[in-house]
Amino acid sequence: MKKFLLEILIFTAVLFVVLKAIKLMVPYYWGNKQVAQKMEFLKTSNKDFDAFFFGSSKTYRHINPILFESKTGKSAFNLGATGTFTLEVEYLMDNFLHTKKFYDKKDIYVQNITYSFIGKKNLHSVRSNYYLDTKRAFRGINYFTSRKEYTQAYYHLVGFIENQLCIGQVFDIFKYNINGVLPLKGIIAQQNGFYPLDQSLKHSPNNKNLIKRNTDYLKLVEQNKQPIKTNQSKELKLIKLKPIAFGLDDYSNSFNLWLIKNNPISDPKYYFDRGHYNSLGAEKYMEELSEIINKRNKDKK
Amino acid sequence: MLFNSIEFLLFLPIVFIIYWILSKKLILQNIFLLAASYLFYGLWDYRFLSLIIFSSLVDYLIGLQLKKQVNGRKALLFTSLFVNIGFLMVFKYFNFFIDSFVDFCSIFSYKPSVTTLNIVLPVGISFYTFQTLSYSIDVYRNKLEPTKSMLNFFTYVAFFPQLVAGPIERAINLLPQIENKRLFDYVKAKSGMRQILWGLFKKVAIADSCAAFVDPIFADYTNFSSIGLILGAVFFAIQIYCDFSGYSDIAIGVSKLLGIDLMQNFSFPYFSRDIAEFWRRWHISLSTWFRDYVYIPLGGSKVSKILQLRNIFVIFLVSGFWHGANWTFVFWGFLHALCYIPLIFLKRNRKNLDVIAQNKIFPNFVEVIQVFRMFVIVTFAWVFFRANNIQEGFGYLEHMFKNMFFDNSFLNKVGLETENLYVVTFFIIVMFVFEWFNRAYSFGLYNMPKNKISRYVLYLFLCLTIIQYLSGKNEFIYFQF
Repeated sequence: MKKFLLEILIFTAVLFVVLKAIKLMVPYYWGNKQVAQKMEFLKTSNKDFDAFFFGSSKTYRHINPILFESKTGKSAFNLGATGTFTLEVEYLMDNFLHTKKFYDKKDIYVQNITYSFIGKKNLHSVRSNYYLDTKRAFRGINYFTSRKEYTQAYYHLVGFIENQLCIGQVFDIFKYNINGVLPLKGIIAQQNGFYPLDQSLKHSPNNKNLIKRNTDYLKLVEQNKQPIKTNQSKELKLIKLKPIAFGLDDYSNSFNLWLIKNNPISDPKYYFDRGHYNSLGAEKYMEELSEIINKRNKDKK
Repeated sequence: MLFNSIEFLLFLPIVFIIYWILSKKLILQNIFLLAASYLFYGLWDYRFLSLIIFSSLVDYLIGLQLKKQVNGRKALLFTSLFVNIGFLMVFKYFNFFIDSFVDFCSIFSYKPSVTTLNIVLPVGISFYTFQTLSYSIDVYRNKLEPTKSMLNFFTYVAFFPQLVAGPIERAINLLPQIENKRLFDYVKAKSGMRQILWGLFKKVAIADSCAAFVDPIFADYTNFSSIGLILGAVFFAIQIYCDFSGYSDIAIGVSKLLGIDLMQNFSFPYFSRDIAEFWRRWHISLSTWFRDYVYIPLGGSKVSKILQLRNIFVIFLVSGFWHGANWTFVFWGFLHALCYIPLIFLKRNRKNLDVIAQNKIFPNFVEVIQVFRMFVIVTFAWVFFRANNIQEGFGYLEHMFKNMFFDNSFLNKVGLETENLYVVTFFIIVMFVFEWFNRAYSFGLYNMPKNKISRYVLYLFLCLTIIQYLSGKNEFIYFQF
């Protein structure tokens, strides 16, 4: 029995080392293609940005860095990506701030959203577990356990184990190493990572998902004949932080905390779907946001 | 709980360690094994544990009574048959009978007002009911002494490695192993680990990858060209083999870790030279069950030609029906019976009892042709097994010959890339090569390279492949049969 257990243990240890080595072959952001494209762009870009925005599609589709620069005088880059989990944003930001090139020099804006759920159908996907390192997994498990959301706590545990064991990741990691990611080019690169949904539809007119989201929203507006209450009022808050505090829970008691609470835009003409502005809405939102930031900067001085 | 899940990855080592810690006290070890088995099943759906417990209780009590009583033994046996087959009829076939009755009435333009029930099929019901049934029948036939220990009997029925998808183990083989002290055997445990690894490779790397092609092709077969439909049919033949034999390998391997031997359930059926050999090698625990409890009691082959014909049809149709409540399964059984009958009448059904190309590395030309012919026949029959109804099965075959153009457009239609096809094809080749060189043994990884480094490189390759595909998303096909 001892011999058998010893052999199994040694083999498991070797396997674990091999898996760790495989994981080291890819950068920390490899699991999110959109973020990976943007990060690779930043790595090779000669431009030095003053500010970075982290978040989900609410950041990706709303924050226009070019407009931000024109209003605040600070160059910025949008690192938002669609369907990004809260803990994923934290993980990306945490690692980003530990990168020498970006450390301790920049203004970081993070979309403040409540912890996002891992849907059952996404449970075993790389996209929903690649960011679940020990720190993130335990934060997620603690958060959901304290709220008696035991299924979510369990999903975070499963995601953590799957990530540690590279389950479902091996081929993708090799592929990432061989092929890399497609370079960020065209309008997204020109707009420093910003890509509103109407622009996206214009470039991919046959995208069924986008067409459906837009037409569903327009139908809803037509039926109600009034502005639609969008579901993003909470999620448009932004936090500005100095790159010292890591982890969303840490921010609340941290310094340089800037909450931009208001989301005054309710006219349907500014929306692409229930959760996102169109280009016009994004422009209006950036104006409001820049005004608040300028005011804060002035007050601070 | 699925074998290819994270939960099982944690469950197995814990069970293994506690099980062997308790090995000094057999009763404690069996209590633990029973509890672990109920937990294994209950994590899927705890409500259906009551069915297993009830079924076990009925056959345990009937077994004891069969031993005690001289008169009324037949009535006791019928009680067991009634309860076990009754469960199957209610949970598996009730709606099928109702729907078939309505369809039959509609031929005469009569529409009876009947309701169907929203019944969930309990996982593994077809397996454990056959297991408990065989116990009562064997006790009735005085082939087996009934066990006095309720714990041992309940553990035999619920033994978790084979509870939900077999092998359908006879009490005569498994019960004595549960009743007696098990000793840890290093060689057996190592072989068990290898068999688990092989089973997982077949299940997660091959069967699930094939399913990614098969499902969209069968769902929309009218829009695929010949090459797509041929690939769909061939991949389904491989999928069902790897899925089911992979599950059996894991079950047998896990049992070996616990010091228990289960019967071999698959013996490389796709290396068979005719359909009779195929059935000696495919789902052996089920085919021998039907042979011993249906075919032989009907007279087997020791009756007139007409009755032999009847017996063969009965066994194949019942076997088809066992797989599911759909006429497609019955038709699948019927097709196999049609292919089997000529062999019986030509007295060639026991021609290929040995292993193909015995003591040789490669088969001869005739054997290659025979294996290919057998694979084509079986694959055609699988189309009906996979189709939603018989018409769809014929439709699939019709389109296979109708749209005779060959291109790779099917890859776009199934939403996969060429590299997916290459990868799965590579895995299939690896599997068949290993199985070919181990065809005289019990599983594909039985004989390993003598060189330790190549052996561990192979283990590592298999582990990494399994890790890549292990997600626990796909249920085993045979769970619902």
